[in-house]
Amino acid sequence: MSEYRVAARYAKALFLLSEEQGATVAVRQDLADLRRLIQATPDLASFLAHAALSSREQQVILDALFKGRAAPLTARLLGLLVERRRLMVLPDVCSAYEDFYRAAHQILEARLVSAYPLRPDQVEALRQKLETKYRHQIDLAVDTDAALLGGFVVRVRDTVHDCSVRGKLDALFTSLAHA
Amino acid sequence: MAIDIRADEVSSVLKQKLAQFEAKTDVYEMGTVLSVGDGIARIHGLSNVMAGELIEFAGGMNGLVLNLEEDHVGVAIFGDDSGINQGDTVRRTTRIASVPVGEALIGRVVDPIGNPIDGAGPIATTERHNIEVKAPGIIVRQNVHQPMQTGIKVIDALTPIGRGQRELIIGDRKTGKTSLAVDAIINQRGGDVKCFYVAIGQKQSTVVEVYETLRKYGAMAYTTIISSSASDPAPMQYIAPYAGVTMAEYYRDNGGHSLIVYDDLTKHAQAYRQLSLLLRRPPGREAFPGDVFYLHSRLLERAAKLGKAQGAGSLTALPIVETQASDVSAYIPTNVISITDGQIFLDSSMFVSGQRPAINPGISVSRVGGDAQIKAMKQTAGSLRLELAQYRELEAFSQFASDLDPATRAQLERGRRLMELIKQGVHATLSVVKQVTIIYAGTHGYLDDLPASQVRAYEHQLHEALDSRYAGFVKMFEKTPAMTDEIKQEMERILKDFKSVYVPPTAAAQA
Repeated sequence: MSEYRVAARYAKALFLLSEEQGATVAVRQDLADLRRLIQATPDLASFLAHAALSSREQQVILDALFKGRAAPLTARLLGLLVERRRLMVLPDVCSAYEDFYRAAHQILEARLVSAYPLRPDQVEALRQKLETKYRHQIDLAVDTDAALLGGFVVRVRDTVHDCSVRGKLDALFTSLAHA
Repeated sequence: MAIDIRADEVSSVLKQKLAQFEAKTDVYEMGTVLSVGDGIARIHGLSNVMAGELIEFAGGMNGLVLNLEEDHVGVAIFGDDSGINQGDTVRRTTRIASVPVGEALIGRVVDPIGNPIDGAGPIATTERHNIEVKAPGIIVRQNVHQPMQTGIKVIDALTPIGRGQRELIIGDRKTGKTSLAVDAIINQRGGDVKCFYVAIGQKQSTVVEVYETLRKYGAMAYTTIISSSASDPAPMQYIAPYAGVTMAEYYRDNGGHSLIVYDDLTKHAQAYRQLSLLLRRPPGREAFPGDVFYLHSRLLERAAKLGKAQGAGSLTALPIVETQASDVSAYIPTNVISITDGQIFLDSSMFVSGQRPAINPGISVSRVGGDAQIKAMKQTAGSLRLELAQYRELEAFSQFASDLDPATRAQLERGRRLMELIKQGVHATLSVVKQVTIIYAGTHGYLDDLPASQVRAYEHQLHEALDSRYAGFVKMFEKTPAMTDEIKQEMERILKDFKSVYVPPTAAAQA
């Protein structure tokens, strides 16, 4: 838990600085790429969490990987994390930065899971409905899950709107079981 | 389960349910389990959850939200946590923890969530009350003025308990704390008081023993047992007394009377300490969390005598606290002593020397019960208290008996008989008239010419005689339970008359 709090502090500092310098778009892109890369490469994740490597070794490896490819601010973040021996919080910094960015730009993350793929106009209609309901811009991730049988489930932050056949069957089951 | 359910009945119920079932969107809030272990789960999400709210795990298990932190929620799990995994989803219920209340609970054994565990079928009540509610304020209360008879001579005479009072029973292990509380429950037979026995962290065998005793004496007809045994998870032990008091409050708030025994609050504090440490709350003295005083004060404040406008109901609490080597200055004992309206102190040295109940009359007090004592008892017990106090002062000199002046020696002899007089068998509760008569006999010198060893035999025969030979006096006393001249004269007459009837036990019978 405390790691998340540490990450949030780094992310906040980075976010404020990138806003000042007008580098938000580049930094955000960098961090999103980093996050994807860490998720896709278990080796990179274990390198970040490795406690036995010295700062110098870490810096050499990071330089080899990212030198010249990342925005100046991102590179400086990596340098600072290495110096502070906090490289293990990098994945959390990436997600915390995204949270700050979304909060500042009134964007809500939402996830739509449907039993069958929806047409783009259907997804768009739903997105607009959610935007009017939550008065925020909605960043909608779309997915399918055949286990829902029919209908869809939307999750916006912690709130779940369950319009699936599976959910209805479950609710019917509980109501009959307690009859 | 009833076996004779007809098929058409089932289908009509199903039809009704299906007709009512709306194709509505189910909107709820959810979170994800970050970690789980030792009966505690940490949940990510649930950003709007309330402290004290119930949440539901995927398998239908419930949890109680105890910690709200910046990035997670700490939850105590009610039950076995082995079915809960990291990454499981959790749902908010927007409900505060509650238990069933009502008449249907009488005679039952339930767990702290209100589920029956006595195998006697479901509890037929629909009413539920929240387990954490505020205690009644000062406006709705009135002072304690009605007696709560325990049927134990030394308590009813020296540390009387009133309805709505909180009287602590404190003592080392194996000094008869539970027996005393069980006796108080047994003595409510035929009365208007509903009883609740909350077992917290007790052995299952002890709970069964208490149940069997209560059943044997017909006390289960008005008693509910709330059991959270030592093998139950700490969260269950933590909520057990709150569940019990909620069930007991039902009678208090409806103009009835109830008596609740918490056995024992030491274990309750330990369960709470375990929870708090696992939730990473900062430890304080003896590693208890900072709010362990509030834990017990908010529980015991719910014992009250309500005013006439509220129906004049009452809830009397008998918390039990176990001490280590008679150390009453430990953390939990001092806390509970300062919360309650008095304490009954059980002394292990008195217990082993055969003085049972092992109540130490010197340091046992009742701060409000005196106002609630029956008049006759108040008038009789005053001199008992005084003479026992004098006896304790002189006791040290008793080994120099031959060198003492006759007055002191007489006082010592009287004291010895009075100490013998306040002995009482277990589960042998006495009516007020029997108590008053024998105490009157003791304090007015009727026992002085008996050997101290015969006091109990005398008492036994006197009580038998009160049931038969002097039944008329009992009726008269019950009509006016005060020491009027008339009653006093009649009592003197009876005691003089009894002298001729009393048969001293033979040496053979004594041996």
